[in-house]
This record gives sequence, structure tokens and C-alpha cells, in this order.
Amino acid sequence: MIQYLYRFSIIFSLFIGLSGCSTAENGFSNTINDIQFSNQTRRMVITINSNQVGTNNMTILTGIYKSFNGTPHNQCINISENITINGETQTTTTFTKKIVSGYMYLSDEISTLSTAYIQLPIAYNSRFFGPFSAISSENVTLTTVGFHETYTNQLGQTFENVMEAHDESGLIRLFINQANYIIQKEDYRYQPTIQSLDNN
Amino acid sequence: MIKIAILIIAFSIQAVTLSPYIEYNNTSQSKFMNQNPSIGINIKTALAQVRVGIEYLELNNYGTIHKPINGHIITNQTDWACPIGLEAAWQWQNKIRVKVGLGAKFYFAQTISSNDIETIESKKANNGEALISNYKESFEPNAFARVEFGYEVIPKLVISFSKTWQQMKNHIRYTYLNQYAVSTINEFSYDPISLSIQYHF
Repeated sequence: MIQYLYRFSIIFSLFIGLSGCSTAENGFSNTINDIQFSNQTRRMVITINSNQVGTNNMTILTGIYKSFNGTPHNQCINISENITINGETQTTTTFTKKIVSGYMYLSDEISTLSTAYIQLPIAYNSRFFGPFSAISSENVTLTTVGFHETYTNQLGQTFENVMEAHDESGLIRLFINQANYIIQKEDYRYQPTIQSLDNN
Repeated sequence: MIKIAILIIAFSIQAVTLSPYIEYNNTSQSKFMNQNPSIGINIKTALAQVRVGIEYLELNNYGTIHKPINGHIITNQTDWACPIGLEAAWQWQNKIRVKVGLGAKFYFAQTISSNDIETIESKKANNGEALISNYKESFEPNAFARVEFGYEVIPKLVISFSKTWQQMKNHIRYTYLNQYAVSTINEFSYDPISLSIQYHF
């Protein structure tokens, strides 16, 4: 009888162990607690099929006062992206503001406090909403699917503690960390189009 | 070579039997196929059984190049298809027949929604350019396999249920950012269950 109890204990332990393994495969416990926004200009290099075709000169301004749909907001962050590809240029502007649960997305059409531009803390399955595609300015919804202790972007520059988020199809991807904000945007819906942060 | 082919055909025709059919493919389980009726004929010769038909396909929008749904990219369209296949048949207790078949399906006479194409082409890239232009879709020929169970309700009249397996290939072509020619094939399965009535001459 004792022999059978031992066997049962071993099988039960193996089952618990295997269950633990499968949970670890589905998610991760790493988190990013905040994104550091400061007044700065940044340069993203844009490639199509690994060939450099343009740049995204990004300007971040903090402490902005602005009204959305008649509601005034202070301490807003203005993220302006001046995108040039093959000689054609356009600027896309995004406004966000820090609230308890993260950075909310602000616009005249969408100004509810529940619309997270970046949900904080960023953990497994956290939500992003905004113009995160490398080639279009439409707002897309992404969720966090991976964590990289070290991550090398397409320009060969290495970053630490990077979160990876995908859209529903897995074709639009974002790589982001606490110190550098967006490190790389990827869009594989058409030809592989990538924006990579150039920190040099 | 041509003489051999003519001899084979001549030999076959001596023992030919024809069985026209009308078939209803159940599209209720498909998220993109609205209608898919077909008619055709089974030609039984001394050498083989051949199935040739004409299908009408009415497909609705299910995913776009901008936003695929479950890997599908299909624009609202109608198509005609010509399935051609070889079949093997077994009869059981004179009334029940089982057939298995392999073949290829060829598509033609596509009518695609110009409004939907305009919507697809209206999206702008973040540099202000048209994201894609000259957008086209067309179905490539695909292989299919089918299994059919038939029952002879009255002499020469057979009612059959069948299942078809096939991988449809939507060939998508467009110009990306006014200068990159793109050609890609979007594949998805369409495996309808169908009901058909067949008469043996």
C-alpha cells in the first residue's frame, strides 16, 4: 500500500511540475513600471526590405496644456512624428497624459480615461492603443507578447529590458522599454517595413 | 502520340456512360462563402471516371490586406470555377455507392467589388502617399479531394452527400507606396459538405 502511495506521489509531483512548465510557456512575470518621457528629439531610421528609405524625426514635448472635445487637460505629452519616405513627408501628432493606470490616449474623437495609449505597468498581455504601425498613421491595438532582457534592433544597437507587443494578426509589432520609449516599430502587412531608433 | 490519344478516346467512347448532376454546397459553416452551387457531369469510360463541372462562387469581404482576419484576405466578389477530377467508385448492396476523387479546380470570369477595391486603395501611408495602388485579386487553380456517399432512391437516380477538401489560393497583386510591385498568395481552406442529385443514363 505504501509503495502505491509513493507511486501516486511521484506521478502527482510530475503532473504539478509539467503544469508549471506549461504556464511559464504561456506568459512571463517581467514588468516595466513606467516609460520615461522628456523633452527630446529622436531619430528613427525607416527601412523597406532592409533597404533604408527614410527617417522619422520624433519630437516629444511634455507639460502641454490642451483641450480635447471641450475638456481641458494639463500635463499632456505631445509626440510629433515627422516621417519622410522616398522624399514624401507628413507629420503625425499624438497626445497622451499620465493617469493612474498608465498613459491615456487623447484626441477629440477619443478622450475617455479608459483608453490606454500605454497601459502601466507593462506586463504580459498589457494593452497599447495608438499609431504604432511603421507605415500607417491609423491607431492600432497591440498586446504584450514577449520580454527581452537584451534586444538588438535593426541598426545593431542593443537595449535592455524590452517589451514586445503585437496586433491581433501578429503583423504589426512594437518594441519598447522604460528608458528609450519606442525602440522599433515593424509592419509586415505589405513589404517588411521597419522603423528603428538610432541612438548614435 | 496524337494517334494513341485518339485511339484511347475512341476505345473509351464505346463504353461511355453519362451522369449529369446538380449539387448544393452547404456554405453555412463558411465565414466568406455565401453561395456555391454547381452542375456537371460524370463521364464513365472503360478507362476511368471523370467528373467535370461548373461552379458559381459568391464570396463576401472577410479580411483585407490592411487587416487580415484569421489569416484570410478576401474581397467581395463572384467567380466561376471549372472542377475536373478523376474518381474511383465502389458499389455496395446495389443501392449504396462510395466514390473518392482527386482533381483540380480552375477559376474564371471574376467580378470583384470596385467599391471595396477603392476602399482598400484609399488608405494613406504615414508619409502621405497612397499605401497601396493597382490592387487585384484572383484565385489560382487548386487541387481538391472529395469523398461521396450515394444512395439510389429509384433506378438510375442517386442522391449523394459528399465532403470536399481544398486549399484556395487568393493571388494578390498591388503596388506598395507607388513603387514596390508586390505579388503574394493568401491561402485558406474551404471544405464544404454538399448534397447532389445525379441521374445515370
